[in-house]
Amino acid sequence: FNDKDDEYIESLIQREISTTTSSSDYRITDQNNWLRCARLNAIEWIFNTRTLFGFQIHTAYLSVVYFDRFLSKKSIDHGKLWAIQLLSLACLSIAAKMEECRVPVLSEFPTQDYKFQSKTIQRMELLVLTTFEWKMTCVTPFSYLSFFIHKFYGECIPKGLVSKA
Amino acid sequence: MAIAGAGQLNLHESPCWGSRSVDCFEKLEQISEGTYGQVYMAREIKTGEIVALKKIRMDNERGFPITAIREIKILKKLHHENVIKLKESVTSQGAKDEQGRPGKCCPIPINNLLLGATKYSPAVDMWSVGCIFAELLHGKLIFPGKDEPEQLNKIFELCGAPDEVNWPGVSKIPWYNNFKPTRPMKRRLREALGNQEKAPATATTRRKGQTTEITAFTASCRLPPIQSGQAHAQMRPGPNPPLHGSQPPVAAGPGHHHGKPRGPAGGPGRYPANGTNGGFNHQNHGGGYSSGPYPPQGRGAPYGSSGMPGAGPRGSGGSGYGVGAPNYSQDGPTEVLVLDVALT
Repeated sequence: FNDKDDEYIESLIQREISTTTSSSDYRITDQNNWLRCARLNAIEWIFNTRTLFGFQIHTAYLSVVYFDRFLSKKSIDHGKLWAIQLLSLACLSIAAKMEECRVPVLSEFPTQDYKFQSKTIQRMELLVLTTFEWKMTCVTPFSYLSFFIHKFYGECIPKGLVSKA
Repeated sequence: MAIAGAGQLNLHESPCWGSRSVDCFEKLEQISEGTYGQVYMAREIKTGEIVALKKIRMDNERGFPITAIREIKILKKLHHENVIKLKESVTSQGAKDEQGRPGKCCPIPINNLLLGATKYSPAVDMWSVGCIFAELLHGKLIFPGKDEPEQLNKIFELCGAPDEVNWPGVSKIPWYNNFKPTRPMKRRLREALGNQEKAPATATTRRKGQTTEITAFTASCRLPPIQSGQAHAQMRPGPNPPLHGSQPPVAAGPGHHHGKPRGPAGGPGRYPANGTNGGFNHQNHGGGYSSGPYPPQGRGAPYGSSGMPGAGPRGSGGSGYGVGAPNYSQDGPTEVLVLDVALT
């Protein structure tokens, strides 16, 4: 590794820290079993929808990062399942717009228990975006993975290595 | 299945959460109008700071525009004195705005479709990349057309006239017959951009090759995905993991010229030695690309379904800010993007 690589990794770590430290107040405690279940359902929905649309795994991961980041900054009242579902929808939609080549219209996203108007989803997207102060690029493990794979394999990256990882 | 109304989430109160009102700014004049929004020169009332205010049309079908998200994503990554910076988002009644942090403008081409083409495609974006790259190399606008015919002529003069041989399918593009050149025009890109004095010889050669490569592919609208990736990789030295694991095959649909009608060429005054007014200088945009005698094909063209990710600043990135306004000596312009979100 040369200095430039070190510098890059360092910048990744710095950026990762800068977006995650604020989530220290976001803890799912035992008392908050409801949120734990709701979150697991949301993650399941995100990954199912990812499969449905053929999104990259990275996109789903990013959605979950957004989901957690949002809840670290704002709370959702106990029992407001519809809000959780709206949040997961907005997070996946934004992540798809960040990462995917083809993004379906909002009405094509599968519904869970609640059906939302596109306008409502749009507004939730906006809420998420402003809550993050428009800092939507998150450093995820994938950021490191791509770098190291590229480093180790150079130009001849084995097919499917990233997806296997 | 229950339907949750917008009000239930308190989204009426919260979407503007943390955002100031657009009333903090005074619109001075419209700078330009892009595919999905207008750009205004505005002044922050409190500080007197000049900003670029960008209004973004919201798409009810697709939510927050993907183009705006991509623009923000790219702007947040770019840190350079010549690149405008995103500052914050502000809201107004019935609309939301974003604004940029002061920064200098960079000449980013306005994405537009020429020859009556109606669809954006990755090829359009690659054309844009090629144009930006060529302009960086050239130091000024390469296609300084005032209107579409002039624009096309400039393009033909430099890149050669398109015909069925070098661009299969071009004759089927709606306006092709109206605009096709009456005389044969040879490609002279290499001659025109090949001998830049400032660039070191080796770099020149390399860049020349890239420029030719990019524009050649875009002219034929057949940029293969791998080539596309390479082009990007070459242009971004240093550790730079690919943004995307894979890229979709480039659609082989009708190609589209991608014009950049944005005012006169960089003559005297385009890069003034001493920016005295520090203001925008956009009024001379040769009629703008949406107000010419030809239909504004770019407007409303659905984007997103065939877009190539990370393909540089597209419409939004280019729609106005920075165009022709390089003379911010210190603080530079602040950009404001107005998002038409009806909060009713």
